[in-house]
Amino acid sequence: MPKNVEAHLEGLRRAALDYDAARVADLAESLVSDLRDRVAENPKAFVRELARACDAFDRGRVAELCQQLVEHLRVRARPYPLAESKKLLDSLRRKRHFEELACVADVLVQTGQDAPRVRRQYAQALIDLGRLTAGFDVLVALEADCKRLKDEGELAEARGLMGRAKKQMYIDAAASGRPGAAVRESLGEAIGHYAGEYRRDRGRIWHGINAVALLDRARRDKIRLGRGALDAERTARSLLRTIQASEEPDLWAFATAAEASLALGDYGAALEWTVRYTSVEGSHADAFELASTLRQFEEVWQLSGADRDQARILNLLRSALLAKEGGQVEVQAPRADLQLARERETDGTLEKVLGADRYKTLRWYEDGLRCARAVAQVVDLGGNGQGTGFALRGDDVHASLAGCWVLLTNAHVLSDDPAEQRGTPAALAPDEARVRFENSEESDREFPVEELVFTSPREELDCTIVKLPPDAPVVERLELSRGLPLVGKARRVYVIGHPRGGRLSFSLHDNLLLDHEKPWVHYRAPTEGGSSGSPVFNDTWRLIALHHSGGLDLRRLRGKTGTYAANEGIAIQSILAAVRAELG
Amino acid sequence: MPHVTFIHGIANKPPKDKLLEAWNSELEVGGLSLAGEGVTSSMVYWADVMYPEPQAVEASYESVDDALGTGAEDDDLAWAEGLDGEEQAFVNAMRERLGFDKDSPDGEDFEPATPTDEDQPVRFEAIPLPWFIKRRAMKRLLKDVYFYLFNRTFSPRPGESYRVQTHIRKLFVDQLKADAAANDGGPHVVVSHSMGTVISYDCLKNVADCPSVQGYMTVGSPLGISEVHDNFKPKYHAKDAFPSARVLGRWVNVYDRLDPVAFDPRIANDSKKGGEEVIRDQKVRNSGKWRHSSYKYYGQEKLCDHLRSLLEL
Repeated sequence: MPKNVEAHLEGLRRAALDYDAARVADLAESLVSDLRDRVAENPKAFVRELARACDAFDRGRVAELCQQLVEHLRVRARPYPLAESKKLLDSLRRKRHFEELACVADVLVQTGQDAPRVRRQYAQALIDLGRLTAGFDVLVALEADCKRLKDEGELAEARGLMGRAKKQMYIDAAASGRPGAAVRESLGEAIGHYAGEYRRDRGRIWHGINAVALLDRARRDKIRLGRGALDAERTARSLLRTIQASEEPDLWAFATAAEASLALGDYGAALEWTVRYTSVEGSHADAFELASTLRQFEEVWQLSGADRDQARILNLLRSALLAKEGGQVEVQAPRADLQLARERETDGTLEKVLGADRYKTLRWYEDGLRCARAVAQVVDLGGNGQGTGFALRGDDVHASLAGCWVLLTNAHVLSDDPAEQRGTPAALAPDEARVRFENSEESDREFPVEELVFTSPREELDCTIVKLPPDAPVVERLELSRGLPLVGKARRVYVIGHPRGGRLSFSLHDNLLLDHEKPWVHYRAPTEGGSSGSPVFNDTWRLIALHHSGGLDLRRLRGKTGTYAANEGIAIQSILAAVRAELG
Repeated sequence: MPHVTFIHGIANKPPKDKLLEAWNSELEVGGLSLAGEGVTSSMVYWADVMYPEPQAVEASYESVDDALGTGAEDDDLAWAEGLDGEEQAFVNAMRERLGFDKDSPDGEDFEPATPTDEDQPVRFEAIPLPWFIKRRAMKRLLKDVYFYLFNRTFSPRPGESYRVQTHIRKLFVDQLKADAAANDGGPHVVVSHSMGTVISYDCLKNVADCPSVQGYMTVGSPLGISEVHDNFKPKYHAKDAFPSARVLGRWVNVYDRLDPVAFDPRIANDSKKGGEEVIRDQKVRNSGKWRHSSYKYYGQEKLCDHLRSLLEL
């Protein structure tokens, strides 16, 4: 036990013997703070504390703990124990803290804990962060060491990840339209890594299905592979037989069977396997696993919202991912998704296929897609995204606005106040602003805004309301919540916007409601620049707030001391009250 | 903030907090997130007055596969032996109304020779509910209603016994008082399912110190059974049955025509306010065989829309 902790305990003992409650409280607080700052010194306690922070999606605490661990590792006399190293890296991976995972794994290796498992996790993090070459190089060295150590299990995993790195190199290059020999080579190498391991052991279905997926992709991309390649269709059938014969198929088996069905062109079966993967049998799938499957379906299989069957499969995965705490999805909403969202199923066929729970979740997701139709990007005259806004029916805002639609956004995005236009960031003047409803039939058209009816500066309610032109393609009326959600019990909020000025996305990360005190609402959805002016919804897609800012050290609400990392929105009912007060 | 006080119905239930959580979850399916819109909720839990321990949490609540379904046991009706005149008459009339003869055997093989009475909704069932399941439900309803209306003593656990009506009335009234005290504004609505409606109605109509509420929603209510309302004390009068002293706003009654507990499911014509029909009867269509399930009702969008309206959301 560290000497200063012993000193604290001795001080506590003396204070207690003196019945000095105030001193006991002071020393206890100081001891707690000290233990929190030094928890990395005790590996078991550290693993517990990190898992707690990960499970609570407390990104600030996770980052703080990882920094503390790195500092401790630098001065630690001996390597960190392997069992605890594995556990803490698993915690970080499960909740997709890849930056921290890469950083910690790197320092673990540097300070002597270079077991294959640790290095593999390091490579995994690098690949997920897009540092593909670095990740691949780590794996090349790891492969050699695994051969030398005759560690067959880690060797297979390392080769699978080598395939994953090469696969991603091909996918990224193909997505950017960069053809060429090197690209084709990456695909061939990826297939080689996966197929090689599958041939060595037919029980390695993870490797087998990746080989099938890439072979199918090569066929679609008209890339000829060398002789001796696996036959995708035969391998898919073989994988399905293996899974169907398995008495206790694991989680990945369901996802693998869905992919094998895709390879055979059987979308109905693929949907049914996806249902099993995302429903009760697959309830142990965490955000990392669901996100991996979704990425595989979108990037490798190129499933698209433009096809009804494919859209159902994707939406099922997205909705399952969003139902997971920490599920990170940025979903663009293609037209076919919208079509599905508009069509309310009436004959119950889909419910029979999906089961009641999956069907309900899918409907919830499609309700979110409908809300996305009311969201617009605010752009300047050059078409550059400046922020987000959303349409409201005029009479939902004020009786005098009946018969028209209005746009609500932040004053720091759009304002007629010269002070706002000079601020940082600078607001657009109404005559310099255009709005674009990406999720509409006129997604490329930009509309001017009309009369400004209300504004409140960024230091107050940070909002501006302008009328939209009569031909604006607004069809979806957002439902407004009269109250704010109850705080506690991991209640979630959802933000739809144009992060980084890009495409319309659901930015749904660790979206926990933290607190509220009118007019402020605090939540942990980590939105990015460009999200200003986004609508914030409760868990049944009722509008609760206008997103306006975020930061690492927001002051806590309701008189609580201290700060935390949070985003801040303005309660919609506070805005409406201010409008009523001004317009009468 | 607005508040909902729930009260549950017949048969055993999972623990109080789990039941409240599950009902809230089902409302979300129907599009109403009470907590998401700042509405608090509480549960009047009386299953522990009639059962020794809560139903297992992992049970598929109120499906035909759980406590009422295959493998479950029929309730013992020994309590109905040797009753006196008025009570025996009530039990006999209820049995006849609910469609099971006292001599019909228990078990899953028995099917009645003449399964339906013309007045019973069973004839409309597209997916027939197995007779033995219906009989089990009716036995539980009969037992719960009898012990409540006649305020009989029941012992759910060794050494613990209750005058059923007295005790459950107190549970209901105390919960309403606590909820009213905690409420800092916003409508207070009572939502009762099944036998919970017999209790909530009785308290709102007949218990002097029961607090008033702004809205009332009854779901799958057996209140339409004449044998039930004939035995309220003071007696029920159809012309002035609305509990207007303690229900200050509207009353919405939600029913499924094929719910075997919701006899005469439309109660607007039965429960009038000064002779006027003031109750909104709302028909819904639950899925599957067991149409009385509270979970199915709460997942209905129409129910959620009415509740939203009662809560002024």
